[in-house]
Amino acid sequence: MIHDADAPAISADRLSASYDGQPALVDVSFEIPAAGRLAIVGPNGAGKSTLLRVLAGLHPADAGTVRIHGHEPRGHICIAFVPQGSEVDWRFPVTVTDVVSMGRIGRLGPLRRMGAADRKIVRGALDEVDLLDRAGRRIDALSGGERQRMFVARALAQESELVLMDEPFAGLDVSSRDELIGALTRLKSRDVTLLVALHDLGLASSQFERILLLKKRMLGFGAPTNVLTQEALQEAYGSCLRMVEGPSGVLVVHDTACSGGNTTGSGGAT
Amino acid sequence: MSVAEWIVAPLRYPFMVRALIAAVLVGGLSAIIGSYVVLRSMAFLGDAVAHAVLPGIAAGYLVAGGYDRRRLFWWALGTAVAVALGIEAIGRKARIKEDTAIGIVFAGTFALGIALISTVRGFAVDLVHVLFGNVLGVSNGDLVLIGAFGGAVLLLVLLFYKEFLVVSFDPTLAVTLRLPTAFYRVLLLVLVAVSVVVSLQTVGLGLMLAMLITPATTAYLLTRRLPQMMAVGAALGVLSGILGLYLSFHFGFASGAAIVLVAIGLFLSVLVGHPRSGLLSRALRRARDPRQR
Repeated sequence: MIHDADAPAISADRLSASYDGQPALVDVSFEIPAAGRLAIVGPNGAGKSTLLRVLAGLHPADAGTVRIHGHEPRGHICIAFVPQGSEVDWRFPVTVTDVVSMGRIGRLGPLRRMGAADRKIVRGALDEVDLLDRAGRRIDALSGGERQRMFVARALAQESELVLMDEPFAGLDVSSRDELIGALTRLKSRDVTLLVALHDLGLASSQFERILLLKKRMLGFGAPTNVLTQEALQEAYGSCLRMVEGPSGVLVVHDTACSGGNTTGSGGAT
Repeated sequence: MSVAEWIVAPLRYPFMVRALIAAVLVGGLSAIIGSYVVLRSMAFLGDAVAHAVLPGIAAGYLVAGGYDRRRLFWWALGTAVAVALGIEAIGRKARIKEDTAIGIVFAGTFALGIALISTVRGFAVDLVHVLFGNVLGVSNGDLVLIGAFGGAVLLLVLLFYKEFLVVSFDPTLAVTLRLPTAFYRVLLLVLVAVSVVVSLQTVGLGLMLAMLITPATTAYLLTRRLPQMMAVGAALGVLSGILGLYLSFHFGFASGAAIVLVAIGLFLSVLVGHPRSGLLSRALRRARDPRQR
């Protein structure tokens, strides 16, 4: 698919989608330029996963349009979607190299095998996320952070220009989290557009230039300081959010186990 | 009897040589296609396809008016492919779980087969061959069919290796790579169905499932990557076929059952005796160091 040079990387216009007959996403509109970095935050059941799936062309929109570099998502092979880790069978007999090599399949086409150039790209991708020493490991021997970095490497091998990740930081300790952030930072030097759904508001505002606050509807979009206002957060998280007055201003404490405000039901897809 | 005599004795009979060739082909083929059956948790589906062949064979018997194996092969092949496609369609369209759909098709077709057969006098003996195999009755023509269809299945597995791998391991990735995932899923099902029909004469439809999943599972315990799992599985399938036939020849066991029991015996030895992950070595490690779990 040839990209329109002057079109934004992502353009969503009045997007609505439903999951199992329930509305999951209502009237969401935003634009991201190429190489932009967006954090999608919101309570459980806010439609974060649904939004990512619609953008990847994996789930149909009920209304509205999505344009990726000026075209429909389904025409692209440059979109890498990393679902929550539980979707993959970790006992499958494949190595880290095998999984990263799968990113090449879309470029290779049928009946063609990986050549020397493809293998070099795979090794380069593993090197960029610091997984070269794990290349021959079976995937069930990887830690949570290494699993996420393997998927980043696969997105690099895919030569993707848009990477969508769903809760990649869930369950990671601080050092794994920092290593993953390092790997994601290297995407920017390749002009890759990055969208990450996450729970940690501190991480979202410190690592991403834009934030989209979602609770089925879009409650805010833009620079972190403009979006994460006390009113908007109160509306999104309701009673799950605790405000603590500290010496350096208001401290926001967010309970990730909470499903949202009083008006939100316990949603299935988040 | 010396070991050499023990080995050479069956080879004096042409029907045993043909049976050995069939067992080698079927053992290897079943383990390779069976690797996908194991990894994609399609065991129940494989069993269902095997049993669903029965009404096809019965219908072929009624139409042909006798037990003509060559003609019944085509009937069985057609039924197996149709049933595989039917289960796939039901699983996608209907609002019931896939294993429920398989169960209904499985039992329904098997009952239909038995009902059809019960109307035919004298089919009972042939029915035993269909259910439990008759590898000692394999003809040269049968070997050509097994070789041709088995070879075609293996060729497709090799040609579409990377596509089958990604569709099995990560269907979501397959969609974002814009692969025709439905095509590869259905093709894999058809290949399983063809392998089942080709192998029927060796172990019969009652024991077909064991040939699909047992050597492949043993190989899974022994290897790290899918190509190795397929290679080791094929070797174990071939070994089970040969050893089973020798046991059948020398001790008079039913051949299909003997082949399957050897495969199961190999599986149990690896499950218990594997040096690193075997149940025995794990128990020993626990006994030596009670803190380790």
